[in-house]
Amino acid sequence: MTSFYNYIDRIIFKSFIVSAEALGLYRIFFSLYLLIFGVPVVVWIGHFSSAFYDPPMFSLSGLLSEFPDFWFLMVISLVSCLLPILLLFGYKTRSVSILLALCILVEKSFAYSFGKIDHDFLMWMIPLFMAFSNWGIAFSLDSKIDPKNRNKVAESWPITLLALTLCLAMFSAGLPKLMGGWLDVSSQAVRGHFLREYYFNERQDLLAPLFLNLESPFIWEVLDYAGVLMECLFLFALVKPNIFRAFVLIAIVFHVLNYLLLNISFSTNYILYMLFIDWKAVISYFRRVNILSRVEEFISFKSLSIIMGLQVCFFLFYLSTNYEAVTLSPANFLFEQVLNLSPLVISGFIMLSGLLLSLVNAVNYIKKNSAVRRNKITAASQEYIPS
Amino acid sequence: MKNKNVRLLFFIVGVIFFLELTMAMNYTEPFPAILYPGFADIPLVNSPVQKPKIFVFFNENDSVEISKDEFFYHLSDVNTNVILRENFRARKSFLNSSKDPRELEFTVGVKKFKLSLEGVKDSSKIEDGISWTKKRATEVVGRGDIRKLEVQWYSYNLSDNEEGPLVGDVLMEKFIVPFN
Repeated sequence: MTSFYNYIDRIIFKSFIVSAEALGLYRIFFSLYLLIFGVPVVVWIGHFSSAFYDPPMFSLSGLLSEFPDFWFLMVISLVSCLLPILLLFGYKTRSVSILLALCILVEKSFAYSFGKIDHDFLMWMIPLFMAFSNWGIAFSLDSKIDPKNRNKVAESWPITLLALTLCLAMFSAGLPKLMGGWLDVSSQAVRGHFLREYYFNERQDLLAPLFLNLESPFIWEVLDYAGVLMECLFLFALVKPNIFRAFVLIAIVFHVLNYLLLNISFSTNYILYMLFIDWKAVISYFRRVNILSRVEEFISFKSLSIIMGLQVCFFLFYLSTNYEAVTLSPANFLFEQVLNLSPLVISGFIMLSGLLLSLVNAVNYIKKNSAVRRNKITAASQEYIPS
Repeated sequence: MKNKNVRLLFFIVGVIFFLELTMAMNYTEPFPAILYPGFADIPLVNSPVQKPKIFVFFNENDSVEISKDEFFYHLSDVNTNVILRENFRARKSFLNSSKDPRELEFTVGVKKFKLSLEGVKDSSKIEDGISWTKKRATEVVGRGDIRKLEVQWYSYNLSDNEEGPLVGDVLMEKFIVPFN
């Protein structure tokens, strides 16, 4: 029994050990992702009548009988647009992370009260769990204000907890498919969904037209099996960190296929996937090109106030021109409003960059590990002196 | 956080997940939840799909079709379809005082219990919905003499013809919002 507990403890506390610098950089990456690609805003809900208010049966919004007041929607949107900036600079990091998570959760609760739930829970779950990882001990105002903060330990269990939620969520997608008969060779579920998305929701971009004429039951059945197996087996991915990383890589490829075929983007997941890359390699590269010292210089109250001011101006401008916006996103504004490009371009950019980064990272990781293994073998063979 | 509490937290997350998964598979999806979409159903390739069209009728008996995208403030297609499906059909009408009656059944020992979770809408909410629909339709068409709005549900079948992959457009249902 003791060995079982030790095994569980090893998974929880030692699977994804990270340095304070890696946590600090990930915090900056996460905040930038939100600031560039979209902090949720819910001012648009104020457009709609409460006659359409249909919250999920068991939900926070289910406690109310109608949409909240316009000013509440405005204030919570503004607050959630400013909190990622405080997080970016690592100011009062733990409280800000928790507050940001709560704001996004409340916003999403109302946004999903029309009868449709999107499954982007990672957007609030990441700051909520990572608040306990001490991700504000490096590259932060917290560490500059009080140097004692630098002595805090970088906790890795919140990363394992996020990994666990990903495994469970993937399993929750796989199990209904398994029970719903996806593995039955007489029907091709992916093809059915593809056609429904193609015609009913008019998802007809990218590679979708090519697959329209693909009638081989074998290929569609392979896709059925691949999806179910990947999602169900994810539950066991936590047994070893490297197995989990391999599953993450497979999931990235799976999302890219979904994007090309069904035009469905799961780009929010990529913020979490990036947590599992080899941050040591990233840090040593950043150190070589002097980025880390520049980041340290940039973290100051002066920069914080400038960016806060710019964000407030952008918030007011953006919402006065895009009253229906569901996210505050400079990237959306540039690509969709100014350059008039499809929203698929932004999600495609995120997903393909994620795929590229993960592949490069995986190749480097494998190379590094095989070099270490080679060195060990060489050292062992040199130690062995035949009599 | 102490290691003991961390272990407890992992355990709680696991328990919450299995409760949520059971709820989602047997009753309805809760929010928030650690769940991804199941897509358990297998849509038949030859089964018809239903798509809505919105028409505005004027006092002089003329009418015009309006884009659902514009009517619903350029929300995504998926969300627009959900709002229409959940509110603008006879089966689930926002004009009814209660819709989608839901009950949670559970058994304790040998006794069965039913808990009504039905959302009831008062008449003021329905009136608000009608005036919202009229106001939005007026904004979109730029005319004030609107008599009614109709959401027409058409059924389509898939065809092999690439020029016109959807055939049929059989009118299945007319949902009327009167403004008198």
